[in-house]
Amino acid sequence: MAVLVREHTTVHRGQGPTITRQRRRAFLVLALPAVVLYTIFFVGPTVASFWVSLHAWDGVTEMRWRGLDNFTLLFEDEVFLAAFRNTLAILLAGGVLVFLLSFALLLGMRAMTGRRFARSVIFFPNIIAPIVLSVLWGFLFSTDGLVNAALGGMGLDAPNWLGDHLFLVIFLGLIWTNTGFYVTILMASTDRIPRYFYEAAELDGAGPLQQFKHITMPLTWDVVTISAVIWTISSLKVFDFIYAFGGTSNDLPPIHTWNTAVFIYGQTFGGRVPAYSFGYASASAVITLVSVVVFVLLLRRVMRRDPIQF
Amino acid sequence: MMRRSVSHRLPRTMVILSVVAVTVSACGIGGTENTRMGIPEPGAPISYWSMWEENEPQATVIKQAIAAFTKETGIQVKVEWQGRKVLQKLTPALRSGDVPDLVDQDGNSIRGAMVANGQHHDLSAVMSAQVPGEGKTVAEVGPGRYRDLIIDNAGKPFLVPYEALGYGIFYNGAKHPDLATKAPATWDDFVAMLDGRKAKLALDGDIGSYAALWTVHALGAELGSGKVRELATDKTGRAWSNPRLRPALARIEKLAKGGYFAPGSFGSKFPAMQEKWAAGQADFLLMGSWAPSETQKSAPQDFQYRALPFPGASAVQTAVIGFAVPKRAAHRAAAERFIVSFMKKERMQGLATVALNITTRPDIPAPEQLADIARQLNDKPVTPFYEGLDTLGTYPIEVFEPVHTEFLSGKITATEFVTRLGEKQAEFWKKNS
Repeated sequence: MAVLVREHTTVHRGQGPTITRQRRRAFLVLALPAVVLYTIFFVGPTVASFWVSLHAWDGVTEMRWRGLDNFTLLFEDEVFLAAFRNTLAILLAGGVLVFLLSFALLLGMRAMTGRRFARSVIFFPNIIAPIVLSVLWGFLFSTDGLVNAALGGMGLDAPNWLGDHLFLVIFLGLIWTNTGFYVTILMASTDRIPRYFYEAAELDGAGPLQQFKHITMPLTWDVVTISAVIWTISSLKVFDFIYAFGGTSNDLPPIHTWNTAVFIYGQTFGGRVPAYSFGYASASAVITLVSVVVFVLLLRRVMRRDPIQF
Repeated sequence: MMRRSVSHRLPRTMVILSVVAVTVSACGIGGTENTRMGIPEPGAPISYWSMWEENEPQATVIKQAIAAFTKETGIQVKVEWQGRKVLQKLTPALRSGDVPDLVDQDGNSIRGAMVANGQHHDLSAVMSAQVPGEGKTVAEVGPGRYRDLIIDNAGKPFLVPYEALGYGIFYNGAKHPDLATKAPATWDDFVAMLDGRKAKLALDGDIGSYAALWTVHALGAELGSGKVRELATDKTGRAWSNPRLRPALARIEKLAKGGYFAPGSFGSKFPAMQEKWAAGQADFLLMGSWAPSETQKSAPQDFQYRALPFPGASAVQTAVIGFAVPKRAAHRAAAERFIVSFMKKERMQGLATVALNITTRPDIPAPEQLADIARQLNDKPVTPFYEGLDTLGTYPIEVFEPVHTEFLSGKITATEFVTRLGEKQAEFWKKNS
């Protein structure tokens, strides 16, 4: 490693300045359009959200300064706090379940015949529109739906899923739709691991769990880390699957199922007669954004390992 | 001298009185400032953002009206079929100033998106304009009847309605033929009728506003029009403890705990229950006048759509759909002229015959399946849909509906309902003060 670094430095000292300058110029030229677009469409609106969050604003008339009042109110607002709790439940409990299931499937499917077909089947819910899935979910979990018919057939009590446990139903739906995505990513990563590692481990008497612990996990750790970051960001943005439980296109789902993304929509454009409370909604968006950043930083710190080359 | 003086003053007084009389009569529904429409800018195209999709029957009717209007006046109308989210798309445009000249949506939505922020144009002049060839003003041919639903805080109309949506308790006339002549007049009659037939009510209880229809109607019938909104806007929430509410809430409590709602009403996903109703698995459905068009695919051939008025209600909950003009529209005069031309009977007729809706003109017969609702709209005073609670921002979804669905599904009593509602309402108004 040290030798490599030294060699690298030598090259730079010899003919470096010109090449470095050219590379730097090429980098600027190539990156500039993306940076400009990103600034206009992402950074600009994000900064604007911070500014709007300090005001009361209906989106049309002049903004009225409120300072940090929107944030103070949010932390006292039971609806927002419940939405934030749901968001955390999806992020943390959902994340644990998605990855446990993904690893279990990975383990089970590693040596399975027809694994590519099985992977496609598991991935399938990911490509169906959430609205379609929610309709299917409605059929499955209604009081006279398939799930209750099956439970009844086994002599078990049939709960009122959609009436009394709607968030749980949505939560399970999110796990179901997302697991396939992470199985696909992780499986692509494990496919790169040379088979002789496993063969050698088998000869040494290692069982599937030990192989998973000592070969699969270490050699796919960088992909697992990235997958965890993707889950963190996407779970905080879950919207359409929950929104699809709102009945008609005009109706919002019941508030006990809201996450922060639905909360933001509910305070702006959602509902039959929208509230157009852009200041308040921006404050909740700011809190969500800060949460994303904190969680991603924590996750990266916790999961930091030196990558293993093979 | 005296006589001369009188003789001089009389004609002047007469003239003033005549002018006032003409102005007042021209104002129609109370317009005072904007009583004359402007002269359309020659050759100026009107930009119209429609709430309809291009493949909907209403769009077909409107397209024909536009073609006829352009032929008459030479004014082009450029339509963008935006669909139901038209006002959500309008909001950023209102900020930028690059607004369409004409939009349409239901009155409460326009009130929230345009009137609350002062971005609407006073349409008094349109209401008092003569409908070409009919010898009556726009207000007089029908829309004036819905005045209370379409005026801003200053009493000026912000909307010219062309369709009316009324609420009723729908049933299959083929299954209950006697109800057409013997509708239950009081709540007790209604419950006795349900008991006598062992009839079930269908409700898609996952939609909080549909569930709320029962209680809001019952409270409106008990207290009178506009009173439910007063309860909801009480900042302390204590108004819900008023003993005057008890009879209405006791009735709903009996409905909730008496097993009147069909199985699945609080455990399925819209539109499962209204489909079951259409298929004959329940008897009654309290719903708006769109119920027939939404359910006709599930209904058998011989299904006869009939509707009872809500028992004991002196007014009918109504929503209207119509045209509005943004304050900063560039071609307001031309847009106003289009609205007036659309109000002609021949132009609006298609809304009933093609789109199967109730128009705001009582001289256009409603489609047969909505005849009962149309009769109510003509015979009774109108009161805003949902008693106007939906114009209170997130109040319905955050406060009323969650507590109410617990009440209607029998999980909590009437006393617990008013207590919880009062507490949540006080918190809500503290947050929104």
